[in-house]
Amino acid sequence: MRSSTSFLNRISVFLITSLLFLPGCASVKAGPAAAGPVVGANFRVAVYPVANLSGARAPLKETRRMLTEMLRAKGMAVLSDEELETFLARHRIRYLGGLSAEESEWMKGEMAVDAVLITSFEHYDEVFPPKIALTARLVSTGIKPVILWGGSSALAGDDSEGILALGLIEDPGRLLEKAVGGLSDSLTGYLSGKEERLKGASWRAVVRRGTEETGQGPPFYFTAEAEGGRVHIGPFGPKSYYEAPFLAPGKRYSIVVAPFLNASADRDAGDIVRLQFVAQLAAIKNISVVEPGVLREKMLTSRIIMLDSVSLADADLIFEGLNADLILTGKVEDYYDYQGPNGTPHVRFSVSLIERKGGRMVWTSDSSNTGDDRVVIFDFGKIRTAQGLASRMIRVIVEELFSGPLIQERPKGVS
Amino acid sequence: MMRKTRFLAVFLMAVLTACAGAGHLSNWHDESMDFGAVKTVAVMPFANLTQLQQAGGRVRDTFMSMLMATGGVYVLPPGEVARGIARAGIADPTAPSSEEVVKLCGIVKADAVITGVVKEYGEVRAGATFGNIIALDMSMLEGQSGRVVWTASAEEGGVSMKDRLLGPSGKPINDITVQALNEIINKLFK
Repeated sequence: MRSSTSFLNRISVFLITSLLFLPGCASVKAGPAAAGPVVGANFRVAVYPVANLSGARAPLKETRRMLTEMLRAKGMAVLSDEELETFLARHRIRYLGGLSAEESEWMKGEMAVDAVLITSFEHYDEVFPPKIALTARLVSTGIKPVILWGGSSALAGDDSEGILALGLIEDPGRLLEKAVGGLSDSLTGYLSGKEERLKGASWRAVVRRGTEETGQGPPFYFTAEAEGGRVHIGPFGPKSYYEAPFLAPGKRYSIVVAPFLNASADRDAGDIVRLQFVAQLAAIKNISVVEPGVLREKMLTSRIIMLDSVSLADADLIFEGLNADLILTGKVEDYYDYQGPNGTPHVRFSVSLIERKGGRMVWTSDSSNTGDDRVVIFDFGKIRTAQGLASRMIRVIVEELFSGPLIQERPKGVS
Repeated sequence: MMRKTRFLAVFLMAVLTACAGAGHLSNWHDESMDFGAVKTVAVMPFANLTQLQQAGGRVRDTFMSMLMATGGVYVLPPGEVARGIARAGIADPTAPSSEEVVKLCGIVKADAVITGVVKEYGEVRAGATFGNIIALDMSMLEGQSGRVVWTASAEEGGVSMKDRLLGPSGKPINDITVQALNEIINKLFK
């Protein structure tokens, strides 16, 4: 009897100790996994000033300084502030939210920089519990800038409160450090080749082609048709979607993420959702994402004005000018972040994907979620930032489109 | 006495049934129209008669992806429709005239145009109880002649008897919208 009580006591002590330490071990979700080339020690990066899409005052300089220091601490060569300022002034570069083809060439030729890190502040709220959302992407320099890595970090002070609120973060500075640390870890992981890219879409395309040819099995393996336009792919999947088979096996696709129309109350919601798509698509192995700065330059020079999403005439111009295969665009209807401890974020957007070959829409979906959607008891599983919520919703779409692990009706004999 | 009680019970049931919120759908098809010939449609911006500014856009986006998801017709991208509207010089895209429809279909190469009116969208109250409601009308205009070939109206949600007795069900507006649009789409293809 005594030994049994002692054993139970030991288990209790172990469980309590685990509960005390677990919140501290909670890691930052720094966006999707990234590609992994191993770069040399002389790989040089320029860290652009942080863009503010939060609609409020945010510690932009502090964030950039932290990012630079963390990258330097990990042995990366970072362009000095003086050199960067001189470069920007010399070429009169004012737009720092992207990198045009011309700027990319200058950066490579004049400064010997291999890549530019472009970071945006998407949410910053100091009111207790603090909330922070950051997105970053690494763009290669040279004649054709390509997005090498993309990541995001959305944190709230009460994300991992834990027992007796020991995991609660009250200091916005500490939360910022955690968010920036997560991003720099993910980036250096990519550069050192430790992180793997998401697999890609080869088997799925083969399956689809086979189905088209044989005429067997459910059409296209999407459940929308069977369920009358209603699909549930987990709690964050689109509420309804259409998908036509378009992927050719083994082909590398170049995708342009066009600006999203913003009909929400948040001034920058269109840009935030767009950047999330850019970051997550960059993680797919057989997808090459066109840098938004290059698209911006093309739209300005071609005088493309988007009335309500991309027209087919504009799409043709973009396809031709940027040699792209796909254009992804959409509309943000709702994007809400709450302040303080009580509330829930909600996000709603629609997405369409236009293919160059057929000049048709091959994907259209409508997504709507709140931060409470996977909460069953208390607040377990609650998402506290709109960016974190949008990130999960977008991940389902990107994976459904290009990587295929979420297909519900996988045919027999296909691994 | 017994008769009076029975009468009262029947009367109460009739009143309560009349008060109950329930789905309602009306539908009309032009018998002479070959709907199989409609392969590509342009969904026009929906007229919004509700207080919520974004209601028309929200319902239109959901309707477009749901209509595409049926696999029955191809829906033109909204940007292409906007280009067509601008080129055709349609003053009020929510209610185009027959001539404007013909012109638009020629520009964007559509077989038909779908218009819609969102009459109610959002929360509705009945005493202490509340619920979400949607009411909308839709029409299809044929691209060759610009005549109306299909109309439907649907209403979903509201405050039902169950809500009155057991409290509001809290069904999200998105679910109610999908339900109403599903009914409309089902009627279109019948």
